[in-house]
Amino acid sequence: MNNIVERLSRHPGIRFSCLLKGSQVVDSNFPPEKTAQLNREAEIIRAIFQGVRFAEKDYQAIHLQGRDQLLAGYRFKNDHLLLLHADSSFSLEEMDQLLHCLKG
Amino acid sequence: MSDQKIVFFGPVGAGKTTAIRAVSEIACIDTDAQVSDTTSSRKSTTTVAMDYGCITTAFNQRVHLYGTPGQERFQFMWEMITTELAADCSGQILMLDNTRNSPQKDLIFYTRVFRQLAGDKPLIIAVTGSDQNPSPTHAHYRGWLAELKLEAPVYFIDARRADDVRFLIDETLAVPTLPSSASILPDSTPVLEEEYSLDDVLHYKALPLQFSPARLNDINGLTGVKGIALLDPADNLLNSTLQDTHLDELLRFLTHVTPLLDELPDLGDIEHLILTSGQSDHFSVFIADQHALGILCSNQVTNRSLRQQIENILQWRPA
Repeated sequence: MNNIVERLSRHPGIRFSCLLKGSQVVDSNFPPEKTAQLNREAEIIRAIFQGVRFAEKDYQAIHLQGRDQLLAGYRFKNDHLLLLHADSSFSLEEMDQLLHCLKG
Repeated sequence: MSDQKIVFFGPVGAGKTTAIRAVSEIACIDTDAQVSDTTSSRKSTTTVAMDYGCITTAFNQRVHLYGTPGQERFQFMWEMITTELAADCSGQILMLDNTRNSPQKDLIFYTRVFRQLAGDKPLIIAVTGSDQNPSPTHAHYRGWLAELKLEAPVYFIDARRADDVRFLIDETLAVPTLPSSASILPDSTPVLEEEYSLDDVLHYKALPLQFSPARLNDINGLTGVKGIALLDPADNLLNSTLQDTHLDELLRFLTHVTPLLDELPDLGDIEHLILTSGQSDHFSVFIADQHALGILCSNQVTNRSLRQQIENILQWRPA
């Protein structure tokens, strides 16, 4: 997971990303003026993951697609959460493969 | 005789294959397959690799015409055509369909992708279906192109008419011939002043996607779709083919998530959300017109492919 934010930033289509552990930011390239937005989005994504615990499936990712941008949240072990903003046309499969490589 | 190349691209059903067939002097090479994804009532076949035709201009130029498949899942063919087969093309013709719900979205998407692939080739916008849906108008398209900082003439055409297509080809090759067809409205044609209303351009709203029963059947029949459920704005179940356990899961998910989405104003209106797990399937939820369409999908089908297929089904306005 080291340098994941920096490595994601090289990928076209990904605007900002942030790695959190619990509520603590581990690494982020969200601009300072988006801090409040980042905190709110992290809270919402956590709440969504919390709320789908009823399901038998272990949900690991949620993608919320607006008209112009995508907000994605990925849950990892040890209470890590990766948030990212990407272009709405960004391929989710590409993202999954990218994360798989970065984690590997 | 010099050789020129032109690439036709744009969404599925916009008339690319029809246009090339209308003018080609050789038997067109096309790669149509029976439609399995978009609404079969719309068209029976679709291009899966490319169309190819050839025409000779009055200036003794042989023009090779390449048509790309519309579906995004054939993007590898877009790349092959634009960066290899027709990398040296003289220009591109983006065909848009006025009967789809959001031609603006199509314009933005296809210009962005093809600019990335092919660079700044001369571009012409050809709009079909304006006989059925006059709006968006020239003014809309011109406003959107200005926002995209793109310079491209816009023509409303009938892709079945050889004269219309020949005109596009001549324009792309910068041959200043005028169309014999009266149906063509070139960019320079005077347009009523009110058509240029800034307010009109700024406040153009695409029609909302519509979840009609026939379209739900089409979606339910897509490869990789295991079941669907449609909910109204009050979360009442209108239609479902999901098994009870999956339906229960979807309803609980939506009940939990929907109020949270209102707390994400920076994201704008959320149109699509996907919840994935390491299991063999996942939920994909489309939100339109305050209705939610939940789809249980196999992980074997990519979200990109599925999304475009579903959007294609929902794009067309009722006949």
